Amino acid sequence: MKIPGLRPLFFAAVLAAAAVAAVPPGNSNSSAAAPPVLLPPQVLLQKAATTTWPTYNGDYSGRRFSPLTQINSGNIQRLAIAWIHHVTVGTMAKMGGFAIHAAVDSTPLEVHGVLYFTVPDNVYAVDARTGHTIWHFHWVNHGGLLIVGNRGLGMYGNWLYFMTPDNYLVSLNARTGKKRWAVEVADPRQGYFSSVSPLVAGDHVIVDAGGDTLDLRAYLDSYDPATGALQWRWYVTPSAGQPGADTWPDASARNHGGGNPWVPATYDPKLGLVYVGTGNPNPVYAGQGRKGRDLYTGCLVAIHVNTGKMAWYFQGNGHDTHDWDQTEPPVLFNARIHGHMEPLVAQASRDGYFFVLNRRTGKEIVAQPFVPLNWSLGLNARGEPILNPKRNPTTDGNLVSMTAGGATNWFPPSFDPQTGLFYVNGDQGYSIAYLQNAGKHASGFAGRAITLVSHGFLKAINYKNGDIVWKYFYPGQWGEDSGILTTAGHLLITGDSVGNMIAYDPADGRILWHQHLLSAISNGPETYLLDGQQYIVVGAGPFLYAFHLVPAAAQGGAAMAAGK
Amino acid sequence: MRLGSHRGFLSAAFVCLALGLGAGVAAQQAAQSPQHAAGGQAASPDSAMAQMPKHQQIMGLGKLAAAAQIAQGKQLFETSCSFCHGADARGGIGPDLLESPVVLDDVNGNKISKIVGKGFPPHMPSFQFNGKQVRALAAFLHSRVLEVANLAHGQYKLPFTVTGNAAAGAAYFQANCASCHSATGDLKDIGGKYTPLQIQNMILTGFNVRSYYSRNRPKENITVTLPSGQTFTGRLRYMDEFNVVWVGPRGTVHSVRRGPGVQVAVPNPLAAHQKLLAKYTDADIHNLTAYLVSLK
Repeated sequence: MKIPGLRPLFFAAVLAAAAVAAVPPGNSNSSAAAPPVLLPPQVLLQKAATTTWPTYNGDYSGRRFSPLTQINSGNIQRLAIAWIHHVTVGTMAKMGGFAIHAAVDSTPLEVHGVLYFTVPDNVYAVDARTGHTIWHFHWVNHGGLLIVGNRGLGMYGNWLYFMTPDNYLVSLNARTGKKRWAVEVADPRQGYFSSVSPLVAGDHVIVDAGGDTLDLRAYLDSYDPATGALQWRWYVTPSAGQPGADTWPDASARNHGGGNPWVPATYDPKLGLVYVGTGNPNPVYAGQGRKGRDLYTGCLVAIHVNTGKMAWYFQGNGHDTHDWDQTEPPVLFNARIHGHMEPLVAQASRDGYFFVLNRRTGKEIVAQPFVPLNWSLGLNARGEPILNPKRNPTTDGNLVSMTAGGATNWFPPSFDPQTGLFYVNGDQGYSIAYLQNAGKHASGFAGRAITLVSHGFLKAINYKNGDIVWKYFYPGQWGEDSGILTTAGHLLITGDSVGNMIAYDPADGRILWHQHLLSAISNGPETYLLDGQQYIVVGAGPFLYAFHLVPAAAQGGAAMAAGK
Repeated sequence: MRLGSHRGFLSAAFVCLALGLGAGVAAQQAAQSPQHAAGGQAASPDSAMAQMPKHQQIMGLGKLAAAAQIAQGKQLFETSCSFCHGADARGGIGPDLLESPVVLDDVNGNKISKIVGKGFPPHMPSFQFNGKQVRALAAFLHSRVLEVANLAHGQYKLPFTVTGNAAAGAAYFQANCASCHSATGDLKDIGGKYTPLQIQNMILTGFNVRSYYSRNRPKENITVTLPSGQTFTGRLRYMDEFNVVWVGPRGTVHSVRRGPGVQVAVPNPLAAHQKLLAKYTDADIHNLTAYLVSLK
């Protein structure tokens, strides 16, 4: 899709017209004095992001596939830096002699030519054409852990929402950056800390508080977008007598069982279901005090958006003892399975399994490892992996064929409907896991794992059977933390761990283009069309880079001027 | 959980320590960092915490108290509380205090004092502590919370013990390791130089983590062959999938774009160790450790 030469003033009207439903009266146009609503809620229902990128993933599906084709495999050699924005927060904290630097992990929202993004404690609005700062909001944090990063914002009308490291849900005026309200989601003194970007779904702002350093009870919350009032709370671990409670030995283990979701959820407006992965159980490495499958930790769950009731669960990692959580993005698409179209949800999990489920029922369709792994004994009747008890951490060390950090993590994968392939960055290798406390009263992490060898990779997975269609191993042993974007221009955009932004052919993994950045890509790349020009934006450490096409002549001239 | 993208060795090491996860080789390195080996002169977690501005402190528990106050609280705890709450405050016949909302919400003893002063009949008697004593108790418990929360920089010790059979380890060594290593040569007295846990990790990775991640570690000597057949050797400076940079014998910096016909040979001295990872049983590892620990 290509929309040439749109003027910003007409932009809102075009957006509203393109949206599924009409703009409600009073929201725009009715008064000449009132500026139009920045993000009419209907825009959130768009099938894929084009002129606006209104959610963390661009749309609700989490596919991170853009139908834009202006930048494509035929002209990507003309891709050049349009501008660079430098986040000058610098060192956020010093802990144990190590400096923690601000990095852009969030995927900026792009609405009406303005990019909204976060680093922990900070929100920025910058001009999407130039990278110039429009406003900056700073939050004074009282004890929230910063190093987990921040994934960004949700938006509804003229309002922005984000989570602070010390667990406040804050609403800002998108035009001015002024705070409207802040509500406490969880108490940092209990050990909660937050990094998620809020999911705005209908009249709900859905968030959670993370934290697995102490043994907490985890939950997913929904708040009223206007007032910040709590609408519902879903607890990850069941209360006494509820289904799943019998997968824990006792109430204490259950109430301290962890499982915090901490990666942004996806949403199917038609089914009214929110899809979220839950975290690892606590104590993290010590499973002896929580014998059983520890529901609903290590699960992909579907939650009814209006009630907060669970529709179904699928436990990709029951009774985890390695911090291999199931919070990785659930990606929604409809595709042909056994000859007929089905609503699907796919997830490449940190435990090394690739899952495809029917997203209406939660029924397993594919459960295949995408890395070599030895912690599982196979699948149970529900299609869920069974933990090999011989691979639990021990005080004298237990070798597992996975890296300590797991097969992948929060960084967004992508599904390209043109190739039918699911793409994920990750690591494979070996680690040894040590139990720190083998006793009855283990708390917190209670162990430590050490990566012995690690190879970072990009893999393309066939959603129909979990087969690896192609793979690419990155140089260097450090893990890949870059998200992935695919486009209808036959491009896959991501980065390696040493600072190269790379464009691949999504069909076969051929490298088409690369650009060395000042830091490795630290977020999920995005793209949008503005004034008829397609931009690709990536976060790389403290920098935000925007790319666009330049004429071949201009590029040649620049190269000559540089003496090449 | 996991951090965001904070690249580079220092931050990676920190993260491993703080959260006990990630690419944990670095965790091992920092846990054995030279500062600690040098006798605790610099960068103890206590002093690092104390230097942090209040809003950057973990969990909002406030400034970590002075070591003397924590020690006083510890003594008090051991004599009066540990019988029921466990020597490590993680619970015994009484509850785990490190997950107690009273302890976590307490500021300078304001919540703890109420429980301590009144007791919890019939389970817990009251204790007549003065304000200073209660504050010390709170300081001790908060220091323990941070330790358990693993936010105190991975300082907790692994209770590693040697469980393997040294004789079986010697046999395994002869069969699999002796072509490169010798108990009387490069590994002489290794049991006297390193802790058993360090030795086990060195067996698995093939390197001493501390020196491997040192900035001063010499880089590999590589050989680059150009399409013309011309070859260069030198010390690797930088390599990714697109470029390779090395320093030649006379100190000249060379840079070549990688592509068809450009071959780069980088020796991997760890290859033999990495191959064994696919073959070891846990017993093999523990036996080898027992054997090398015995070389003193």
